[in-house]
Amino acid sequence: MLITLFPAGTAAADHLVVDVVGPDSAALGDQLEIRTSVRYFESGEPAPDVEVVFYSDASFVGVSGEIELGRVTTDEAGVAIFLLRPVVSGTHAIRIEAIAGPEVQPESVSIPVTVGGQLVRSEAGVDIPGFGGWIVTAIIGLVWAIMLVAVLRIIGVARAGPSRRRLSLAEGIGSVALLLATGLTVLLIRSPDTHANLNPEGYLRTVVAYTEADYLYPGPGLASQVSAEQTVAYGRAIFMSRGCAGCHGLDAGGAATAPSPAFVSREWLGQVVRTGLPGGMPAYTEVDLNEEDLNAIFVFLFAARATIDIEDIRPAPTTSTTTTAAPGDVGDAAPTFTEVVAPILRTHCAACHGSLGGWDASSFDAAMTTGDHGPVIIAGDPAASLLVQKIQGTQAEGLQMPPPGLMSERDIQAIVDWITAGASR
Amino acid sequence: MVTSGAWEPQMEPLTEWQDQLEETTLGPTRRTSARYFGLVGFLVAVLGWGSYAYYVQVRDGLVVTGMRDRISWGIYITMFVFFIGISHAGTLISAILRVSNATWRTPITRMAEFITVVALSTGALFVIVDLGRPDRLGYVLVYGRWQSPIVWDVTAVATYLTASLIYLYLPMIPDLAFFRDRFAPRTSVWRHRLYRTLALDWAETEQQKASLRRAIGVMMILIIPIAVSVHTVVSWIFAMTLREAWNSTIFGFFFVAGAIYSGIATLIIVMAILRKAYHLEGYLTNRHFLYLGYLLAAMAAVMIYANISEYVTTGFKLEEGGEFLFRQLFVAEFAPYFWFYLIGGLFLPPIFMAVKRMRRIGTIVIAAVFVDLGMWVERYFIVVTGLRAPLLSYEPASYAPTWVEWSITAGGFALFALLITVFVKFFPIMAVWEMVEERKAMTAVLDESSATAGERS
Repeated sequence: MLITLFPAGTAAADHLVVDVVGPDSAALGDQLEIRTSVRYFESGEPAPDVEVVFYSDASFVGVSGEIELGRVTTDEAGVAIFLLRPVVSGTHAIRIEAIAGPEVQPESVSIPVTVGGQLVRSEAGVDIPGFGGWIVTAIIGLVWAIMLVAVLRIIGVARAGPSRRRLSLAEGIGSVALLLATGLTVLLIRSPDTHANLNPEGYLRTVVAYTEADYLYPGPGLASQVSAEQTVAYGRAIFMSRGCAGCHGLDAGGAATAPSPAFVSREWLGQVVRTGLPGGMPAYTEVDLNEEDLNAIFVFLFAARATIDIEDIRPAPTTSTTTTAAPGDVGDAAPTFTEVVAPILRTHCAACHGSLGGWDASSFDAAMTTGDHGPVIIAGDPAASLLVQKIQGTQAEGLQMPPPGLMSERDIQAIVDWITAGASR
Repeated sequence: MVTSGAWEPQMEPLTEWQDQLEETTLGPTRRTSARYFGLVGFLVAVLGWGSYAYYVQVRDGLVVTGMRDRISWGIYITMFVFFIGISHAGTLISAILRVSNATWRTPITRMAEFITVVALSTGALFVIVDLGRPDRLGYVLVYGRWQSPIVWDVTAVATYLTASLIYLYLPMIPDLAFFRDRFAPRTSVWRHRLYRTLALDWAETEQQKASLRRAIGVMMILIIPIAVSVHTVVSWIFAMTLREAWNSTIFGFFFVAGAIYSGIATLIIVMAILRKAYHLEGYLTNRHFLYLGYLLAAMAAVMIYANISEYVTTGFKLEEGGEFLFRQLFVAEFAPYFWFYLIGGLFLPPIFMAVKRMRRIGTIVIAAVFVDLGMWVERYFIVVTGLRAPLLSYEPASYAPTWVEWSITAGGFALFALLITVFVKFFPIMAVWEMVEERKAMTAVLDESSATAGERS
């Protein structure tokens, strides 16, 4: 990151220009190099022997302020390098102030450095130089070799017998023991699967705990294996901790205060969370709920679908009487707004469309004429009607409305039929 | 061919004493009482019932056991650790006493060595029983990695079993030859063939004796570190798992000490039973029980000390997890087991041995039974309490063995007893040649010192 600070409109000779180069982000334990170069604004000459002071925001037992990290004096090239090893994660705002004697006005710039990090990083076991699986193999091999010596003695006993039988039980035992010993050794050093080396290239034991800044602390000493269940659990934790569950129910199944959000799309979720909705859904900023949180919430909501029957949360089809009547008299009486469409719009749309500006779904006249991009209903041409595009999810702009799945096919078809038939009142 | 390698003592003719010893040793193989068949029948029945339970377990999966995700080791692993512990009988009694040339050992080494082999096989079997997919047993070799303590365990147990078999077999060769010769004319063909094959053409030539002595010399030393390694590795299975109860630096030592302790106790019990059944009173004397009783008391002291070391170090700090562990051990769910182990298993046996009037075979056997019960219980609560202490703020899990587990466990004990019962039917239960050698050496010393050979009688 390069930040140059140009002072505005003052006597140039009195000013320094400070350029700072530092890492945008770093991990805990890294040594950060913050390189500042100081020059005079007017001449552009480097400013040697300028004392550069590095500050950082800090807070301790309730007192917040700036602490001085250290001071470095610039060299002949006007460069001062400060080395910093951050010990806490998070964003460090580092302010740099250059002071060159009383007659030169000090200048300061700030850079943010984000430090992420692992609390615990466990490398593969203990690395003892020269120690590896081979030594275990060697010890076991030695033990088995000694046993083999004993077995050979047994063969010796048999050989020394009066009848001097050549092949005896002992020889059999000896062969089996030899076979076992070599087999065991070979099996254990044979392949990468059974490697005897304790430290193969790139082998790392499970990272014990990994936390980014602002990451919900997953608990001490547990391997953080990212699995679907855990993301669901994490999403659920956010869903509960950020207040979503208060209105939408603990399992996202909906409650008296707010409907179930389980079937919304990811886009919908992002849109609605950022803008809020009339009737109580608050708007969350990026700080309250970032995109990763939303991803996690979405994963949780997606998983919650399995436990929720969409029929329970979908408003009942509103056109049942009309549509059951419709097949009998096709063409006789075109569906009308009042009979067919108005109940659907009331159920699905009018809560917002009518009070928020834009398209107004509250009456026939309003529905036919209002809209941010002109009329949304073009009589006789459902494909060109933005309303149809929106409810079918084929719109070129914006989101499907209402969230996919909430409006029944029958209702959608009723609106399409109504427009096809001329969109009569 | 049969008589070609007849085992003839060269120094002196068979004395009355040796005659009697040989007859006694041959006794079990000659007479088979109805009681024996009854016992075998009973053990086979229990084993059969256990096998049926195992069939149920294989058919339906481990869900038929009381083991679940949070307490995933139970009575099977208890049996595994217990029997691997018992197997130390042979090592301590036989190898250590042989290395230290303790002469009183000779009548009991064979039984100790056999207990080792049988207990080891039974214990290893329980690891397989604990597997939900025993068909994947071979994976431990095919995909085994040195990083895994399980692989260490398999390697150590396999090595120990092989070494124990060799160590059981080696000193038995002369006795097998003796059986071969004694049974030569009048026994079934297969039995004669068995002894002839196993006796390896033994004719007690100097060359053969030298070979045998060297082989025994190698094995008796080698088997001690192997035995120690085995139970240390068994303890590491626990100590290398992230569990409060198993966070112990002395676990290896603790397990080895406990293994020797229960091994001696088992040896005492088996000895007492065989002594009674086959009238071995002349050879397994008060002295043997007394010495083993002293060893038992000494090991009890070691175990008590190990327990103090284990619980005082943890109890002094009493961290959060340790507090839970102590509560369940000392006052809550596992308190009856724990106090039984502590009082009955650790303190009672040495008290028995401390009182002079109680130093009799009967009381020593009772002490041994207490030790075995106590050690079994100890293995049980080490396994279960360790898993029960929650790692997260859950309610503690619970575990109780199901009928399947109890049945298989009973089958395991039956297998152990059955193998010993069958063994005494076919193999010499005492190391006759070692006892004879021992006797000769003793006689020689007596001859020299008293100039009269009148000791014998």
